[in-house]
This record gives sequence, C-alpha cells and structure tokens, in this order.
Amino acid sequence: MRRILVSLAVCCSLFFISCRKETFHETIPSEPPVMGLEEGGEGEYHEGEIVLGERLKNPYNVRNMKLAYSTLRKSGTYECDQVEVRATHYYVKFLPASLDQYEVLDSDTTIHLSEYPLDYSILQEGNNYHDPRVPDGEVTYQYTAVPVDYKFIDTIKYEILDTLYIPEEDPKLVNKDEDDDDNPNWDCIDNLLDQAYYQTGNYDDMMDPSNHQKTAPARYHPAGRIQIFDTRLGTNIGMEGVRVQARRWFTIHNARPDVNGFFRARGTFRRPCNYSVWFATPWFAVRKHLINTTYWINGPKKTGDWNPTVADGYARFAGHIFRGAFRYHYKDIAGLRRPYRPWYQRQLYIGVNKDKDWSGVNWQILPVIRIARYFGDNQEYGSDEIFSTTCHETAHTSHALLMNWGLVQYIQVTTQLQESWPVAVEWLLTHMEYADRGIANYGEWNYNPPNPPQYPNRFAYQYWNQGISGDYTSLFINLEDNHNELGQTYGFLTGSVDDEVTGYTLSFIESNILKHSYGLSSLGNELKANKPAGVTDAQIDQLLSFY
Amino acid sequence: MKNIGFILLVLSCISCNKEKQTFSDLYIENATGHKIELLPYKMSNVYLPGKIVVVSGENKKIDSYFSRGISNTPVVFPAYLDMTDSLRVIFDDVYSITHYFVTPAALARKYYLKNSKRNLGSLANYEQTISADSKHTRKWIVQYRFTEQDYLDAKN
Repeated sequence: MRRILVSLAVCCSLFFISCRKETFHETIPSEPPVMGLEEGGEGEYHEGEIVLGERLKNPYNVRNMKLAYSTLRKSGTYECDQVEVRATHYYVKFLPASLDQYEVLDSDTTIHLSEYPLDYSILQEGNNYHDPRVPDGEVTYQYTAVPVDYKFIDTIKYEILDTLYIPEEDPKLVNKDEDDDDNPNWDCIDNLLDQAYYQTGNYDDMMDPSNHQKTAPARYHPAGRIQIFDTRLGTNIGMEGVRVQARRWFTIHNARPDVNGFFRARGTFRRPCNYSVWFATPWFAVRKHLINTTYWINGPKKTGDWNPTVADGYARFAGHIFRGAFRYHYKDIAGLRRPYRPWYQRQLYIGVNKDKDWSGVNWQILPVIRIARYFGDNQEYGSDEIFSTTCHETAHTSHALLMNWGLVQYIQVTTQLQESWPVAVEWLLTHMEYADRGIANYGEWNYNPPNPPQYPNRFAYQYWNQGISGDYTSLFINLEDNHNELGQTYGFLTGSVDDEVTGYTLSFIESNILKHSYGLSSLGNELKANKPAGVTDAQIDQLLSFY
Repeated sequence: MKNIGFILLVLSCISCNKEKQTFSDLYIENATGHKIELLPYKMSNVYLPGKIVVVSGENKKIDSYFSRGISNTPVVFPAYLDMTDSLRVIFDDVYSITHYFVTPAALARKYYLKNSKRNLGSLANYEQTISADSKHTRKWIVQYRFTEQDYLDAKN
C-alpha cells in the first residue's frame, strides 16, 4: 500500500511539476495592422444548430482538377505550365473516441477542425453541429484537410474522404509565409478554380457565375474588427486574441485581433469566404460544456471585411472568460508566472450557462475550470466579474503548479492561503486590465463608482474582517498595497486591519515565498526572510495577527 | 489498482476548488402611511447617486452585493453611505429628520446621532436574516423598516 501511495504521489506530482519548456510551442502570429476597412461590413454572426443541405460535388478532388486543367489547356488560352495538378491534401474525417483524443487534435495548430462536413451546402447557419450518427455525450466527427505528408496519430481513427489538389495551398504556386498579393500565379489559380467550380455545378463559387471566363474581382485579405460589449465600461472593446478564421472550402486563413479588435489575415481570397471566431489559443480553450468542442461563433459568407460586435448572450459571456484567460496566459501580468500546464496540456474553461450556487470551480487534477454565468434569479455576472473569476480560478492552477510536488503539496496548504492568493491575483489582473481600458483607479482602495464592482475590486477589499470570511481574505493584497485601512469607513464597515506593510509585489511573493508557505506561521517566516526595505518583523507579525 | 482509483478520486475531491459565495440584498421598507425620501449629503452637498424614494407600503430593493466565501455578516455598501456624512429623511416632502454618520458642530432641528438605534448608518439597526444557506452559497436579506414612529419623530 505504501509503495502504491508513493507511486501515486509521484504520478500526481508529475501532473504539476514544471517540466515543460518555458517558451511557447506556438506563438500567436503577429498580424500586420488593418489597412483600409471596408465600410458597411456585415456584422452579424450565427448561433444555434447548423442544418446541412445536399452534399456538393467536390471541385478540389484530384480527378476534377485534372479535368479542369486539361479543359483549360485545350482552350489554348491557359498558358500556366507551372500548374502541376497532383494530390496535395486529403479531406479527412476524424472519429475521436474521447474528449482526450479531440483535445489532441484541436491542440494541433497545423490543422483546423470543423464539426460539420466541408462539402455540404448549409440550409441554416449556426455554430453547433452534432452528427446524428454519433450519440449525444460523445464527440462528433471532425473534418479538415491535411497535407499529404501529415503524420496521423495511430490511436485516433480517421477516414480519408477524398484526395485533393488545392492550388491556393500549392507551395509551388503560393508562398503562404508572405503577403502574396502580387503573385503572378493568382490568375492561373483562379481560372483553374473557376473551371473546377463550373464542372461540379458550384456556380456560386465562380468569380462571375454568368460568365465563367475571367472576370477577376480584386483580391482581399480577410480583415475587420471584432468587438465585445463590456458591462463595466459600458462600451465595446476589442476581442483580443481570439482566432478569426476565414474559410473557403478547404483553405483557411487565420488572424488574431489586436487589443482594439482589428485583425487582418496574411492570406487572400477573391471570392466570398466564411468567417468564424474560435475561442481558443494554443494554451487554453473555452467550451460550452465539458463534453463539447471549442466554442465558436459563425459569421457570414462574404467578401471584404467583417465587423461583428458581440453585444450580449452566451457569446459575450464566453468572450469575457476568454479575456481573463488571455490576460493570464499572454498579456502583461506584472511578472507573475504563466499558468501553463505541463506537457502543453491546454487549460479548458467551461462557461456554464446556468444559475449556479458557485461562481467558479477549478478541478485542479484535471485541466478544467468552470465559470458560472448567472447567480440567483438568473442574474448575470458583469463582464469584470467574469474576467475576475476567471483569473481567480486560473490562479489556483498556477499556485498548484508552483509547488515542488504539485497537488500533493498544494492540498497541504491551508484554505486561507489557497483562497487569499487567488483573491489578490484577480484583484491585480482585473485592475491591470481595466486600467489599460481606461479606468485608471479600477480596484483601488477608493474605487467605488455609482455602479460599483463587486468583490474584491471594490475598495480593494480593504473592508475585509474575520466576520466576512476567514478564508477569502485581503492578506496578500495588503502585503502589496500601500494603504492602511484601519479606521477607514467603507459603507457600514470600518477597516479593521492595521496594515503597515508595503513593498512586496505579488510576483516576488510568488517567486520567493508562496511555494514555501503552508499557513500563517510558515508564511510569516518566509515574509521575514524576504523583507523589502523599511518593513520590520513586528509589522509583519502585526499584520498577520488580524488573519 | 482499485485502491489507486479510489485514492485518485479522493485526491480530486480534496483538490477541487468550488468557490463559496455570499449574496446580500438590501431593502428599505416603508411601513408608514407617508412618502419617504432619503437624501444623502457629503460635506453639506447633496449626493444624488444615493437618493432614494420609497412610497408608502413599498419594500424597495436597493441593491445586491456579492462576495466570496461564506460570510457571517452581510456585506452591503449602499450608495447613501458612500463617504457621506449624513442622510436627511423627508416625509411627504414636509417633515425631515437627519441621520448623522459624522457628528457636526451644528445639528439639525431633528436628528439621530450615529449611536441611535434608528440611525441608517449603523448595520445593527437593520434586520439581518439568512434567506438561503447551502454548502457553497449564503444569502442575506438586510432590511431597514420605517415605522409610523419615525414619521412622528420627524414631525413633532
């Protein structure tokens, strides 16, 4: 039994020991800024069930492409010797047997999955499709195109539905690593495509359906601006960091919006593309349910820019979860450690679309964090509260990862320290986020606007006393802040902590003190051993005495 | 193997953090036959965000507050206490009485000081009840009830 326990301790700690590389295994591409937004870009997006229509004839299969090429050559006007029609891709259907297998596929940044087949017409747009042949509770089939040299994973079942020649993806014709706007091969590619579309009856995909000769609309980079409404700010802000996908058939161009929501893909199209937004990065993903795929919203099929605003609804809720996770994983966090899970395991955020008696849950041993949308009588949390809760829950993960033996040591930390640390982290990161967005004193001790934020960002939680909560305390906030709340009035409450300690930063505490602290006693010892100038042992003892 | 599964289950239960929370709802009840207006002041100036009107018979919800953890005391921050120093309670737009949170040099004709059992600035003068209590959530109702005696205190 002892041998089993020791082995278990080792196994569990391996979940959390920081054995991963410190660098990204994929960086967010740095997209060039948008130039010249098209005015009047449609801003709609679709949610709900996708209803498929008929299966279309695949213009990209090799046989059809060869026929198209030979037909054009016979016409005598298609002088495109550089085009070599051959198998470049497979159209693949994956059959993931479990969520773990889906997660392996979705984490692969070289492919982009679709939960509905790519060669069907769409009768009703939406953002949810579950193949009726797949039982509820199981992951539906996933569709994509992969290069012919793609290394399939033996344990994940797949079917090759078709062999494709995708001239827009042919490295002999297109350089995907550069802005290829002036590529002289585009005319050859587009004429071949038009012939292929014509042959398969996909007339709507032709550049000019009434004349399948060479009318050539201008190429465009899929671009636009994605915004989300923030209830705290009372205005729209950019949806930074989400993956914007622009797809035509099997060709996908991606972009990630900047802090103001502007995005521009490197690749180009001539014909309408289908826009969509995916709430995932290489390090985390947002889902609507645990047994579900990455949450996404489906945009229009159009040329030119797409400028949606996520004003309300579940998408807005998911968007603010994404913001909190994005801040913690990618943006300035004042020197705190990134909450990267080991072995590039993605953190999953489940946005729970129900009225719950909790605001957040961290499953710790599994990479799952749940965030509730509603509290009591279906009242919705505000945008900053969702953001703050997301940071709070993520900080639990980060704390456990910090400990030498991971979860085995983390569970030995008192609940007071386990909860007071994330309280301080959410306070810090939410302040940073909203200060960046224009509220300079958000979360400060005197921050109490007419529509005030809730805990702990109101009054910087300086009103805390033991009667409020023995676990969720202002302890770590008070180590960093420069405000003594003793005797200060906060509504009915009066500050009861005589806080003369200042000068610690949360990043310093995290790096030097937290991993050796299991309760107030060990925390006190570590604080004294790592005092900033001007702080005395007596001041530390006095502060801790209130907790 | 069975033991490992059990231990993993125990470990997951121990490590699973489900956030506890406390909700506090603040009400002002007008159990008099008169209209009541609450007008807070900061440094002798009216603080309009804290102004409240409660008609006769109304039990008005002022706000809801959320805090983490299970709290043994309601956590409420009414706007009329937002660094205000007094609150003037006016009945029928005619008779008023001032609730002082900070005792000034010169007092109004009718007033309650901070230590009065009717002063709106003291949480102890509100009825505090737990309306719901579960493992992860506690809900407080905090209520101040104006009675006919309050009206008479202002009038006489």
